[in-house]
Parts: sequence; structure tokens; C-alpha cells
Amino acid sequence: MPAVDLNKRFLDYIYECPVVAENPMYFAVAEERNNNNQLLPTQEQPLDTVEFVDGTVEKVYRADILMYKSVAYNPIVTEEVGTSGKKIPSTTYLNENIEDMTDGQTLIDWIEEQNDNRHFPNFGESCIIESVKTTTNRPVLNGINPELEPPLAQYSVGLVITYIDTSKQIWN
Amino acid sequence: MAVAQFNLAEHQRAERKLLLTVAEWTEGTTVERELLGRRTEDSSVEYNADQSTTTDILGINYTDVNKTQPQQDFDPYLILGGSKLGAKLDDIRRRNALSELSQFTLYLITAYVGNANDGYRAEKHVNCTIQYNSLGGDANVNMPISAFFSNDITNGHVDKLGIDFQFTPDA
Repeated sequence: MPAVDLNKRFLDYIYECPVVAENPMYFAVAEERNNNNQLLPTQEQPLDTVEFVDGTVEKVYRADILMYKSVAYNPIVTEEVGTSGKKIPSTTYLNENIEDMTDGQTLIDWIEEQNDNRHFPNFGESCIIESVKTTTNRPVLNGINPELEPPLAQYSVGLVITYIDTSKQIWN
Repeated sequence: MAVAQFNLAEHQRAERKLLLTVAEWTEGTTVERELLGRRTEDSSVEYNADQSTTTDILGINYTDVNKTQPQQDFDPYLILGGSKLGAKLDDIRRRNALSELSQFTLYLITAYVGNANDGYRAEKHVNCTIQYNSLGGDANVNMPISAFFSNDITNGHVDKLGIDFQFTPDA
């Protein structure tokens, strides 16, 4: 049986998410450009595996989705002069930074919905997917690169897929 | 009869998956089987030996093993889709039909003795009991069980490691 490339299978899966599919996706390394996304597989730790007495093994596939977004230096709270001549705060949420973070949040919500519906990536016949989850409830702002034009923020969404590998089982 | 040797290389350890416990029961006219231990990380047959020891006037001990009461616990035993035994035990639990817990046959297959061509050594215990111990858990529903072997043993071998194996008693 040919080995299943979990990265490719996961890319097939994650591309079903509209907020991912509408932008360029890179694997492992990416060009830092506005709206580029990057799939970065992370190391599966030996301690992440659990062996069961029937020969099956619980494993995890970990990856980060990195999202590059241009940043805006516009305040969301400004001061306006009221009718009495006194300055009062004015809040606007029409802000690019907030919109950019919404993309990551949409991905997180999509993953949660797929997990609830047990819609999982296809890791092959010998893998039973247990769950697909994100590591955080909100996208993480990893940092901003101000030297780029425009300056870019890097957001990340961590993903953990837990699956049962039955390939070493001797019981059929 | 010569003692069968392990089918392992010198100093090779037997992987845990080579020791299998299979439950068998009848559902109507259909014989059902299920391998025990799915999602269980650690489970052993505990022999619970009853011993008596006497000491002679020279201080030498003589220990007799009067009986064993083999028992194997499976914790967790998760409620899993597709598990016929889980559904069976849950139905017994719901009806509190305790006498039905003692209608199982248990096979203990030692797959480190034998091979695919000659079959694998196994022992068959009839009239065994499988008991549910609790129901609940945290993220997933767990119903830990204990399997009590009857010691009404027929030694033999199974022709393969699969749900439709044939058990053949030793000659």
C-alpha cells in the first residue's frame, strides 16, 4: 500500500475552507506578501503517540496555518469635539487590522464546525481520524514586519489532528 | 508433549499486541466475537492466586497454590461506534439482566507462539463473565469492564488472527 502523504491530504482538506481557498497557499516556506497563507507542518513529538494493547497507535498531526496581512496604523478610538465643545471618544471598528484577524477567526470557526460534523481529512484506509481541533480559540499575532512595504502582520492558527493508526495491528 | 517455544528471535521482546483476548457470545443464532482492548493502553490477566504456606521445623516454606481466579480489566473501555460487545453490555446494564453477564466465551490467544502457517496457540474458557464497572468519564463515555476467566479451559490453536478464526482443540 503506497504511503499516504498527510500534508497533501491535509491541504486538500483545508482548501475546502473558503477563507483559505481564496488566497495563495504556500507550503513550508512562503513569500511574505499581503494575503499569502502558509502551511507549516510542525514536529510530531514521540510523546504524542499512545500505543494500545490491540496494536493500534494514537498519533497526532500538527501544523500551523500562517496568514500574512498588511497592517494599518489607524486608531479605532479617536477624539471628536462634541456640541458642548468638549472632546469625546469616538470608536470605529472599520479597521483593517480587525478585519484581518477575522479571517483567522473564520478558519478557527470552520475547523470547529467540521469537527462537530465529523468531516475530517482523508488520511488513508489505515487511519481513523478522531478529531481536528485548533490549539487556540483566537488567531495568534506572531509579530509585525515593519520593513516590508506594506508592513505585514503574521497571524497563526495552530491545528492538531488526532488519529488512530491501525497499520501495525495484527488483528484483521 | 514438548513445550512450544516462542516464535521470537533471541532476546526479542514480545509486543503487547501479540497477546489477544477475544470475547465470544451468541446473539440469537449468530455467534459474535470482539477483540478486547481497543483504546486501552494497559491491560493484564491477573491470576489472583490463592496460596497457603506451611513452614516445617527446619524453617523451610512449602507453598501451595490452591486456585487461580484469572481476571482482566479493560479501562478505558470506551463506548465506540460499531462495538457489538459494548452495545450488548449496555443493553444488559439497562435491563439489569445480571445473569446474562455470565454467558461469554473468552479466548486468550498467545500469538507469540505459532505462526500464520501452523496457527497460533490459544486457550478457550467457556462460561466466563464480563462485568461492567462504571459508566461515565470526562470527554468520552467510558464503561470500564472486567473479564473473569472461568478456568474451564480447552487448549488449542486458532488458524488466524481475525474475527472469523477457527479454534481447534489440541489432540
